[in-house]
Amino acid sequence: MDDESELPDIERRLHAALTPPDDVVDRVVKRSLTDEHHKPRSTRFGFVLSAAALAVVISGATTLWWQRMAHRQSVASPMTIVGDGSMLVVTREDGRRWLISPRLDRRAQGHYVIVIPK
Amino acid sequence: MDLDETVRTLAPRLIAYGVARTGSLASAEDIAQDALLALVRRWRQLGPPASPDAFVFAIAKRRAGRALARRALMLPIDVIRGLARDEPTVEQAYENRLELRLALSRLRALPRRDREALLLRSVARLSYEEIASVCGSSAAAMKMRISRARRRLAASIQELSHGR
Repeated sequence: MDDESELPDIERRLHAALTPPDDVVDRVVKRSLTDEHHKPRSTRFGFVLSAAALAVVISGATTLWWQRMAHRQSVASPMTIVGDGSMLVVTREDGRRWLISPRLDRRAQGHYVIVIPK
Repeated sequence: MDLDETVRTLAPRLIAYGVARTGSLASAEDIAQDALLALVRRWRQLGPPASPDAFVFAIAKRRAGRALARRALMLPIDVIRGLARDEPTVEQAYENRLELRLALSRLRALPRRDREALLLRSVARLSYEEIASVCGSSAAAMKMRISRARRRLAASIQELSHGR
């Protein structure tokens, strides 16, 4: 059976019913060929790419800043300073110590320097 | 093959297909516009596709599916908006045409895949090979599906005329 000629009336009616108005067709053709009403895809893609790159940079910088702040807080652990004559002993919680004494050549000014990191 | 001529030939077929799928002239216009813009860009950048018909109708098929899904989501809002305005929209006025309403109601009674294949054949006027390419199936399967859809549509219209 030849399907193409089986329902000519139904399909003719369908065609007639679905035929779009000429002004709509003209509008669609004109817009498609001039492409005035749509931004080129490359521009949109470029914008999206720039926005994504900016977001990555901002989030990276924020993460870095946050890590540094957290590190600083962890570094600033409590320490004790004990005076022993003209010498100071600075002891950190992790056991590291610094001995601080007056400079031998400028004793009168009372300037202090770190002499032994231990 | 000339781009302008191809676009002019495809535009009414795409709009008709969009109206048949969505029942809305405004949606059909958007669907046709998107598909043709994609074709124009592709043509200008890389040259014409192997089958411009299959190229645009594959896009139109996807867009129509999305438009239907979007409309299902927006329907309650549109109803309220229509009630507030108390006036028929362009697509309502278009749909009021008796032939369109009858044809669409009978078409909607068909299973979705049968309806899509029949529309691509009888409204979009694609070849069986092009329909197979758009639907991701074989030409033989599409031929069978379209034949079945036609039989169902004929039976449905016969039922309707007997029922009157």
